[in-house]
Amino acid sequence: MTLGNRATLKHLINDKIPKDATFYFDTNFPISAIFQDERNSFRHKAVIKFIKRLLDSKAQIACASILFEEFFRASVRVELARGQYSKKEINRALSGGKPKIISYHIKDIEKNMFLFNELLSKFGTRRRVILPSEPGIIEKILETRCKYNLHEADAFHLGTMLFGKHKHFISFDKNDFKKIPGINLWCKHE
Amino acid sequence: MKKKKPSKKSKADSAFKVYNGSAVYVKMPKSPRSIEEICSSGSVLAAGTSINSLINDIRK
Repeated sequence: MTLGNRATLKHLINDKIPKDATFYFDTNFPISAIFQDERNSFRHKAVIKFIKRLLDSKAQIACASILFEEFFRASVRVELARGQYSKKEINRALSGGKPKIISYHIKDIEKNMFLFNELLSKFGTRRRVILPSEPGIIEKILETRCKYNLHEADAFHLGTMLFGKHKHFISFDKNDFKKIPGINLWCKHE
Repeated sequence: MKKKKPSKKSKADSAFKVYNGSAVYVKMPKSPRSIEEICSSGSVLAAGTSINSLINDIRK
């Protein structure tokens, strides 16, 4: 696997958590914590252990505001899929074609959002949600997108992190982020 | 007569934090549930779906 200059792939369970570091969440991290994929329970368990380690070590966490919107969309998709709707029907409902089917699942979608909020609340004042309205962030996001040819959402997460000059990124998206130099990508779990 | 002890209220985790030069008062209730309890209450994915496909779908 090729890595960007000085980029490292860290292990969620075995690697030591550095003191006074801030850890940025990609959306796939809380998604892997809250939703359970029975065919890939290793990741779910590793994520829970890692969150406990972050809490025990009093680590700071941070995320871009887009994380909430992405988690919400994931929650809608999960609940509609559980409601036996096909991918085509789900895409249609999300794009406004037949939004009524969402109304039968509002409580479950909301429950997942509450769980996400409860998870973040465990970090108390050691969490920070960064809004793109802070001066300079949008410039960094667009710069990152063009330089590394990233998807818009990936650039949003990474650009926000790099803007704060932090380097610990928790994401299972090795393919897109391994090329970014100088970051510690917390992704290994098995 | 024995004095009644005041009931223990859950302490809120609150503090002033400085973000970008401005002080913000943050107050959040501490969650009484453990991380395991929170995460085990989440939905189980439907058959035929996975976390990876879910991520791909939300970023289309």
